[in-house]
Amino acid sequence: MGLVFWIVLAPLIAAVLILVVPGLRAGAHRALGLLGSAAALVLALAAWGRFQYATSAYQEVSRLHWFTLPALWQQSDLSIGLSFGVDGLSLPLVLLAAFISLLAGVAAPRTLQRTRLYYFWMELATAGILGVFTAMDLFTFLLALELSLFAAFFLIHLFGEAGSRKAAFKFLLYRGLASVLFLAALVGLAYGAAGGFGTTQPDTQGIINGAGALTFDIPTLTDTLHKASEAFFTPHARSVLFLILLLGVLVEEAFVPFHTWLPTTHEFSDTTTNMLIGGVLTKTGAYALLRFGVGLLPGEVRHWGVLIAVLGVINILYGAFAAWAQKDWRRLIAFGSISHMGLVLLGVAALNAAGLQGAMFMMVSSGLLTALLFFLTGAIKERTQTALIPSLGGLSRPMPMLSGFLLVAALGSLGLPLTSGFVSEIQAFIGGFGTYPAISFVGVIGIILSAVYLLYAMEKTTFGPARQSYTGLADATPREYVPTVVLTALVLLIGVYPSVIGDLFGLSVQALLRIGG
Amino acid sequence: MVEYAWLVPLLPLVAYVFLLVLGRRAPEGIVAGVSVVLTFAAFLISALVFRSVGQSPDQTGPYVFHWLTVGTHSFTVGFEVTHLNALMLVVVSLVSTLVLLFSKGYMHGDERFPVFYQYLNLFVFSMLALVISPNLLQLYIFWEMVGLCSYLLVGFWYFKPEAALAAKKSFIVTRIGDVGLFTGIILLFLASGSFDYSTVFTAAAAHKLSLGWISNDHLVTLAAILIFVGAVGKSAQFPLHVWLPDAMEGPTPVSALIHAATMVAAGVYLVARCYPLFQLSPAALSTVAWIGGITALLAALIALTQRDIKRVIAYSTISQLGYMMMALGVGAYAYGVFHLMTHAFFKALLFLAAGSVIHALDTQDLFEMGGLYKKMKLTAWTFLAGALALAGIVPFAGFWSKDDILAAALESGHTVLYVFGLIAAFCTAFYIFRVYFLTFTGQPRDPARHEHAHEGSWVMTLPLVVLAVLATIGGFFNTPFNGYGLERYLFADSPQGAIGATTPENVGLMVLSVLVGLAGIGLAALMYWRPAIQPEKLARSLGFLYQLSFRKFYLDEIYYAIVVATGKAIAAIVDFVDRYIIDGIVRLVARIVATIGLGLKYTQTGQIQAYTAVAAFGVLILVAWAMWSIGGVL
Repeated sequence: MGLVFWIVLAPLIAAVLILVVPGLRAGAHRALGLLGSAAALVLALAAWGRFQYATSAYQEVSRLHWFTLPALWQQSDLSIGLSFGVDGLSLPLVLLAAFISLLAGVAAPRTLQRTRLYYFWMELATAGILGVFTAMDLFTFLLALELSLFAAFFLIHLFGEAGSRKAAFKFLLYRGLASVLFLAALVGLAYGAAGGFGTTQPDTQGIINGAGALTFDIPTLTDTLHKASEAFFTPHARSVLFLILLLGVLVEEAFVPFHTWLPTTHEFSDTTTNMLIGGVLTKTGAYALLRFGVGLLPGEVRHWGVLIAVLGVINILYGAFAAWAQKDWRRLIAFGSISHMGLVLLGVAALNAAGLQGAMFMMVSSGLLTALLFFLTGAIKERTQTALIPSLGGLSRPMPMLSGFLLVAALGSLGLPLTSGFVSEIQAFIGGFGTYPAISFVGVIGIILSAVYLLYAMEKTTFGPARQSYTGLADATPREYVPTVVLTALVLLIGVYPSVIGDLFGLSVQALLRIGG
Repeated sequence: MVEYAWLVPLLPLVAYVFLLVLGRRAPEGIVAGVSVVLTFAAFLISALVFRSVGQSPDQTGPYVFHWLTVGTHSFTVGFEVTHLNALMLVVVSLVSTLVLLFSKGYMHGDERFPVFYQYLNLFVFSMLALVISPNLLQLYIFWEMVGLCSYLLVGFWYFKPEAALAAKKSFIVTRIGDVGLFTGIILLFLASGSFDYSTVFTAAAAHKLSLGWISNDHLVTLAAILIFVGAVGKSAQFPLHVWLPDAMEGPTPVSALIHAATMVAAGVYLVARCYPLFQLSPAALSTVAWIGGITALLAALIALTQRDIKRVIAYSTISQLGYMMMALGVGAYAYGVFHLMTHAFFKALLFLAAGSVIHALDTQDLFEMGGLYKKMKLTAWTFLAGALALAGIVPFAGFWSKDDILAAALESGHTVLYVFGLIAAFCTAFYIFRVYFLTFTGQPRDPARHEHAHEGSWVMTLPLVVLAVLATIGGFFNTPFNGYGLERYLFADSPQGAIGATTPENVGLMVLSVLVGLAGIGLAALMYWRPAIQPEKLARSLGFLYQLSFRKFYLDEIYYAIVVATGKAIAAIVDFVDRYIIDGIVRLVARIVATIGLGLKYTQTGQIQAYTAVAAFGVLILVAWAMWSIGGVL
């Protein structure tokens, strides 16, 4: 079995052990959970070490055949199973997910109750997310997506604050809807790639007869569709499938106006769940857009480019303005993340190397920074008992280190150079201006607004006269330094030396751009 | 020597990392000592680089390294040395060394003393790295980094609400400018395929800068103006100047280094570095000239009436930066850079001397000062040197550079700008001597404070003396007596067609500007030294005009009403829409579904017969639909 298979399996094994081994104490649950995530991270790092930079194909491939649906369509069998692999698009996200999962596990407070359930669902969610990013066929993708969905649902529901039940159901309904839309779009694409929708161009009949077989295999589908999706669909069918996919992405990724689940979820979830959701779970939609939108229907991305770019800019500005109005740090971070991801849409719509690579950078960067912000504001809330910005203030005196790192996280989020935020922003905007200059001119206003809402929040949180009630509060504990320092280091590493992940994207981005043969 | 120029920014970076490792409780002596020694070493290397660039006319470098691959492009970082940035390296490292030394005395006893030095070293590194950048991308990176350091240092006394507000304001207002620069750089990259200065300028000169939606000429103008917008923010030009006076909330050495001598001059440096681009666009140059001229006059008028010693000098900085921009705008490239250099010396001097006064009296209000000459002779004399240089009195440094700028404005046919400059020069001489007389002459207005006033230790006085010497003789780098040495040096970078060494000295103009300066000093003396004119009476009789100046033309209030209030209103509207309309619809849908669910639960009777009947009915409908759609059987 390939390396990547074990990346997904490791947290799954941990989850099963936590559940079935009787008589474990809290410490053992925690140890098993951390072990599962740590194993996934080590294996992911190993996959990185062995990564072949000279190819854009999937690597470390594992295929597990499960069953075959015989003669499903025109005497063609459909093979169902699990297959995993990584390429330049997925490996950085796998690394991100593994890092965040382990750090969230470390970050979980010692006072945590119900550790068995907590680490069980945590590891299950991790396995699901890792599965989403490593899936090489549609079945695996959808299955992993569902796994991450209900695992996260339980994390929100069981470990959130009062009121988290509603938030959890909102989360479940929205992301469930997104899954249904993905299912419809992706099965439709597979059906079409097997010739199911006929064609408008008789001279391409040869291509279709050559393809013919029904398959869920993503590399095969990409080969078949990427360069010649026109041959397999009527323009109408193509557009309908793409728009279903896009709608799924918008819901999954919490894009305006399908976003209200995200601030609610973050407001009521506990810190570590927020790290996991904000850090990686909200990157799956954008990943699907790149993998299936740009990967399978690049012509449609181009055709609907203006729509996607406008949606992107709406999200950048809407998210930023909404963040400015928030009183709760967690809602502010949620809207900030929506604003960031708007830039991903702009980059993808641009459909050039800088735009796509910027989008990939932004997904990783936003993941790291969102997780870091949630962790730090969570640590502050543990001490001050509030995440409400107007109730904070003067925290630099009792907790200079936490305040300092919070400032670094805020500066990274507002795209300060030498952080990952800047590298992402400039590439995405180079892409955006290259294709849609007018729309991008509006989008850059977001750069000002991000400084406004983040520095406003900083001014009210760490600056100002020390408050009497906060004077005795302790600064970061050694346990808290681990996620803080690791996440900050990654943010700075990517900012100072972006090639460290940029080289991973390179060929895969090039491969996505080769349209029309 | 040039190939070792990278050592210049590296040394302060080493100091920064070293202090970071030492931590927040390191002893003051070691902290300041390491910083001063390493920055001084950087200055010595800069001086060697400056000399060797002058000796070898052939430009070497740029030296670049791969940073990131984007598609088929390679983004690079590295360094280059030109005549312009060699001069900047010297100025920045010299003033930095002196300010680092001065801070040892000024910040003594502050509980975050080591942190202060960390930030300062980070700033010095960023500023030097900005100057030495071989391309626009790296320039932008460090452009933002110096902005960050400014933010950290303005807000250094984070517990003061005014400092926290000022820090935020400075970052956000300059960021408005930065977005212009950001966009300009991106457009130039898209059009030329490179961030390198030389590649971009060559493409522009060859009329090859065009994008699908914009022609070469329009793109050059657009990009130049966008870059200038960045400079307007950083160099505190009208209309984005409002952050700089507030930035005076930072410790005074910070005001001297960042908000007078170096960072705020980065905008002027940027325009100078991109001069080949600006020269291709008369519209852009004229924008630069007019914004510069307006800023020079506006800020000088505001400085007339301010009560806070640092704010007067801050408005003076804005005004002088306006002169520099005006110089560049009317084509006097070398004069703009020359004034940047002399201004760095005498403005750092004025701030440090003001710092010395504030340190002694613990107030910034001019009307709580007075009579300090007797107690602080050295500060008074050095301040006087700086004031004379600023007022443009022969032979002090400011005279040579400012006079050149005024002459160039007239020469190039910008008569209105010349008049602006001349009025501003009068105001300049008046406001700075108003400060001088109110601070050092007459009787102490606050005897209690005056009681304890005394001169600082040598770490504070030595920088004052060095800067006073430079403010006095610094102008001689570029006079007829040395054959306009600086101009010839700078013109080796050859921005063609700029006004410079060819301009003959116009003695009449020189005399006029000195007379204007003396008139300003004279008026100040009559009002504040040997009171022949009552300032209060004059203020009352001027009425609204006085208020206009004192209230800074109400620009802060206008911006608040227009920009900030609008932004907050939009944010509030978005928040309302989000909570009550978008999420309201969501809740409505949820409620409808829930209601339907409530209704439907009565169909769950648990009776198999009922389910089967429903199922059979459903199958019937499906079969009917299928048959109908297949062949119209029914």
